[in-house]
Amino acid sequence: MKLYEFESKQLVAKYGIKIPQGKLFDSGAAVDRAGVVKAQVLAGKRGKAGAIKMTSSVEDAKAAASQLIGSKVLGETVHRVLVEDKVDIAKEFFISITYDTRTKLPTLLLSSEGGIEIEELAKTAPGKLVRFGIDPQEGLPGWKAREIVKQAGFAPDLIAKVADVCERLYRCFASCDATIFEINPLALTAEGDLIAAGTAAIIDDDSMYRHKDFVAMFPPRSAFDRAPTKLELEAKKIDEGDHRGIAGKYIELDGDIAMMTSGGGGSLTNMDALLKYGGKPANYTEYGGNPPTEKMYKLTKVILAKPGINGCWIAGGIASNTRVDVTFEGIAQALREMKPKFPIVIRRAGPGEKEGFEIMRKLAEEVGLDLHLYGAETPMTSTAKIVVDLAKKYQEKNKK
Amino acid sequence: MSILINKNTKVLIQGITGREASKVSGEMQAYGTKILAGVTPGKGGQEVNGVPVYDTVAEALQNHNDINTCLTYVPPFAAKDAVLEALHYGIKLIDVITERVPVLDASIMLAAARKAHATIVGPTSVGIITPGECKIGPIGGNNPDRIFKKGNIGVVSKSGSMTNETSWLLRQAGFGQSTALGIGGDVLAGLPFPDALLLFERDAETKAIVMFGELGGTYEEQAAELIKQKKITKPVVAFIAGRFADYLPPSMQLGHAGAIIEGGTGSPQGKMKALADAGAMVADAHHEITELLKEVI
Repeated sequence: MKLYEFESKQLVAKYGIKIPQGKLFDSGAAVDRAGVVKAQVLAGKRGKAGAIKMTSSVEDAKAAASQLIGSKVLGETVHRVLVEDKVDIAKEFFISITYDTRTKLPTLLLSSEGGIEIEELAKTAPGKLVRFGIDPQEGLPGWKAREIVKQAGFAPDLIAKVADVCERLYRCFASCDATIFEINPLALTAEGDLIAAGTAAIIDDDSMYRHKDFVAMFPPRSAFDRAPTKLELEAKKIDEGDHRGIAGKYIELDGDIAMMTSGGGGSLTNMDALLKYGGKPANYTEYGGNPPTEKMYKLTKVILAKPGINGCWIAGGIASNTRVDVTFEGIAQALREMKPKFPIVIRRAGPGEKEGFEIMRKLAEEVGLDLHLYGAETPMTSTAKIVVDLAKKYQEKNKK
Repeated sequence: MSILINKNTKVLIQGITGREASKVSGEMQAYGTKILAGVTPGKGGQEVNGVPVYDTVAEALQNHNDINTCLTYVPPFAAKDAVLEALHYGIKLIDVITERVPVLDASIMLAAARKAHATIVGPTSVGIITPGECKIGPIGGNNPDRIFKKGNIGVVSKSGSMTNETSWLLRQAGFGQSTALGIGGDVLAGLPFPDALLLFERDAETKAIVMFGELGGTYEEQAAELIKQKKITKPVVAFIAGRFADYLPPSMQLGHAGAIIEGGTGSPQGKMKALADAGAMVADAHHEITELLKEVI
C-alpha cells in the first residue's frame, strides 16, 4: 500500500524524526496558513508536475490549494493538499531503506547529496550513493549507523545526527513493515536541525493483518492510484471474513473480453496471450486456493456486470488443489441468472474436471449458452486466439 | 539424482493438521514420499493419515532423527517462527508453502537460513517433485502422474499453477522432468532463479532447463548474468509473464508480491532481453516453449 506524503510523515514523526510544521486541507477555502502547498497524490516527481507551490501569503496559499484540489496530477485527482512551513535548507541529503533482491536484505541507501535529482546522481556519481545491507535479525544499532554515515562522506559534525535519523528510520521501516521508506530531502537547516522535508513509503500489504491501526489511519486506495470503481469495491467484499481461497481480486479495465482466470502466474500468462492475439481484457482477476462456490458466484456476477462484453474467457491450468467442479458450480449459478449471449471459451483441468465440464455442458443446453469447452489436451494460451476470434465475430454480428 | 529431493527425502510437515496440509500429506504419501512426522502445537499425540503429530520440532526429531526435510504449511503470521524453529534444530531443506508472508519475516527467515547453511524454497512455493521418487507440497495435485514423468528437463517457476501447466506442456511434447519446483514469486525468494539454475547445472540428469518468470524483482536478470558468464551451460528456455502490465500505470501489484515494477526495473521486456542477450531462448506465448525446447534438445 503506497502512502501519501502526509501519511509517511506522520509515521516518521512517531519515531522521533523531525518533520516540517504543516496542516492538511481538503479545500482551498479551508486553508488558513501560508507555506509550501503540496498536492497529496501517490505519484512521485510532483515538483516537476507543478504540484508543489511556494506561497508566502494565506491568500496565495488558498489560491494554490484551490487550483490543485480537484485537478488531476500525474493521473490522480487531488483531494487534499499539505501546507507546510518552508524549511530553510542549508544542505540536502538522501536516505532510503528498501529490500535488495540480490542480497535479500533490508538496505540503507545514503547520500550526502540529496534532493529530487537522486536518480541522476545514481547514474552520474554512483560512488556518492552508499548502500549498506542490514541484518534483519540484528537491526541497525547506532554505532553501525555512524560507521555507514562516516563512509558516506558526511562532515564530522553531522555524523551523529544523521546516524540517529538512519537508526530511527530503520526502526520505523521495520516496525511499520514498509517495503520502502525514503526521506528525500533530509534537510539540514541553518540552525543545524535535520528535518524530513520529503518522505515516501510503501507498506507491505501482507503485513496489514498486524497493523490494525493502519486500516483506520490509512483509507484504502486502488491498485491504479485512483479511486476504486464500484465493481472493484464489490469484488473486494467477496474475500472479507471468509478465508477459503481467493476470489475477490478484480481490477476493472477498458476492454470487452471478460477474464475469469485462475492462478497469479496463469492469469498474467493469459492476459499476455490475449493481448498477443489482439484481444482487449475487460478486467484482470486471479482466483485460486480452492475458493467455495458462493465466492465464485459473486465474482462471476461482478465480472459479467460490466457493460459491453463480447466474450468471456474462463482459463486456467491444471489445478493442484482448486476443485474445478466446486468453482464451476458457482460460475454456472451466475451464468444461469445472467443468461449471456456472448461466446464463452473455457480451458481448464484439475480435480473434479469431469464433473465441472458436465455442469457447464448441461447449463449451456438448459440456458442456450454459446459455450466452447477445452480440456488439458489443448494448450492453455492457444485458446486465447479462439476467444478473441469468437468475440470479434459476435461483436460484428451485433453491429448489424 | 535430480535436485533437492529424492527417494531418501524424509519429511516433517509443520501445520500438518490444517485442512490443506492434511489433504496434501495424503497425496504425498500416495506418491511414495516418506512423511515421518508432523508438528502442530497443541495437537501432539494425534495422527494424520497415520503420521504422528508432535507439539514441537524438537520432539518430532527426538522420535524421528532421520528427518532431513521440512514442509512448512502454517498460516502467514506463524511462518517465520516455524521456519526459525526448524532451522534451530538443524533441518537443512525447508519448503515454505505459505503465501502472503510479510517481506520482513521472509528477510528474517532467509537471513537465518544463510547462517545455518540451510536451503529455503519459497515462500509461496507450490512444492517440489522429482518424478518417480518424491513429491513435497501440493504440486501435481491428486494426480501427479498425469503431468510428471521422469525425464531430463528441469522446470523452475515463480508461479505455482504454471509449474504444473509448464510441466504439462513438456509432457505432451514427449519430455519428462528431472525435478520441477515452484520457487514462489515473492520479493524475497529463498531459492531464486540463479540458485535453481546452478543446482540444475550440477545435476547429471538434467539436460535443459525451462524457466517460468514474471515481472518484478531481479531474479531473471541475475539468472541471465550467470548464463552470460557461462556458469550455466545447459540450454535454457524461458517464458516471462506480465507484459500486459505495460498497458497499466506503474506500481501495481499483480500476480505475486514480487510483481511490482518500480521505476522501470523488473519489467518483463527487460528480463526477456537480458535472457535472450545471454543466449537463453525466450518464448513469446507460453505454449511456444516446447517448440523452442525441441530446437535445443
